[in-house]
Amino acid sequence: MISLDSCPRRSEDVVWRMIDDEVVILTADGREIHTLNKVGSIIWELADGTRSIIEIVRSIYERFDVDFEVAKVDVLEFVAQLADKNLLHILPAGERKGGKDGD
Amino acid sequence: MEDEACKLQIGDVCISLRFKDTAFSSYLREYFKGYTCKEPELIIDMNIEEVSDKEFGGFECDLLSLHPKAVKGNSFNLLSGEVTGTLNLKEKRCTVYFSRKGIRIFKQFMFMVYYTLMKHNHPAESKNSFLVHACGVSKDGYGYAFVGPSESGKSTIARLSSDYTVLNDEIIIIKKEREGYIVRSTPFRGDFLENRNRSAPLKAIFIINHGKKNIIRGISKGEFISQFLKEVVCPDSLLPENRWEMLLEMLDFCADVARNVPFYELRFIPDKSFWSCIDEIVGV
Repeated sequence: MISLDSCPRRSEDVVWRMIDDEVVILTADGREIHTLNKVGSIIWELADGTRSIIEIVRSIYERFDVDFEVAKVDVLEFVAQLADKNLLHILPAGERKGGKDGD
Repeated sequence: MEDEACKLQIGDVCISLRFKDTAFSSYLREYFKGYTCKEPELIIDMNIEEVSDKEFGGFECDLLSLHPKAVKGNSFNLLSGEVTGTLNLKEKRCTVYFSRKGIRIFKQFMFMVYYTLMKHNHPAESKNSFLVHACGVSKDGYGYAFVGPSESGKSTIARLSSDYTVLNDEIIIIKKEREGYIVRSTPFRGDFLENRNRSAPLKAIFIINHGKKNIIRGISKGEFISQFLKEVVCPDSLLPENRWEMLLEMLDFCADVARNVPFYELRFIPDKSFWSCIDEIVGV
């Protein structure tokens, strides 16, 4: 169950690159390619297991001209979609990774 | 046996294929004519369960997917034992056994040989030279790559480009050289018969599909890379290697191509008029 306190973390079974403003993700078996738009790419970069979804929502809210409630719904939906595809893992609130300086 | 070998140039590498079945060997020499080379970097003794010419020409490529592979010392095992063999690069020797089921990845095996020799003998160039599922055409001294999956129209483009030099209608090499990217033909053709070893500076790449009229549109780098990447032959080799590094090499190559070569989406009708649209957009 994904909540605003959950911490999304990028799967280790993918390789990815930020190319201009877009993230391109390739699954380890080489079978799937995913491209994320600008906002999705920022969420992906932030999803390192150290930040909760609500923290990511705040970051999106601060960077883009978007209503906070809309950002909340959009980020939750986006994270859920990527979790469904096993591109993101969802860590419960108590299991977030230590430090925000990276993996 | 050496006289009857099929000596084959694939991009920068030269290999010699030796068969016990001389009839099959001469069939391959004819199939790959235009790509003869003199000094092979690797001699491959090919052992194949009885297979007809028709079967040889009929297999499909599953480009991006990686086949099950195990490499231990000098031995390799592909497709869970359907293709097995030994590789000794120091001695420039390889022996391979294809089962009847394994022969369907003959072409992929050749791709693996290409990447193996690039990595071992041409390491500086190997990260900048990839096989791509595409049709290549040279016009007025410049190369154009038409990239797309099966049925997207690569052979149609080749057929409609008879006024120019068709490099290949199935697999080409896109390679970064000092002056920029080039497109190069390979022996791995589709329906196109007049296949010879040639190259041209790469002017533009088109992601193609059939359409009701000719339309060329710009697409984002992400969109281009996600389409282009699907048609790049994964640089899997007969060497033990880090799969992550391999996939990242592919991604980095695609990103570099996107930064340095103009790219478009092309929808076209099956006549030569699409070339006028291309001339307009690339400024010829």
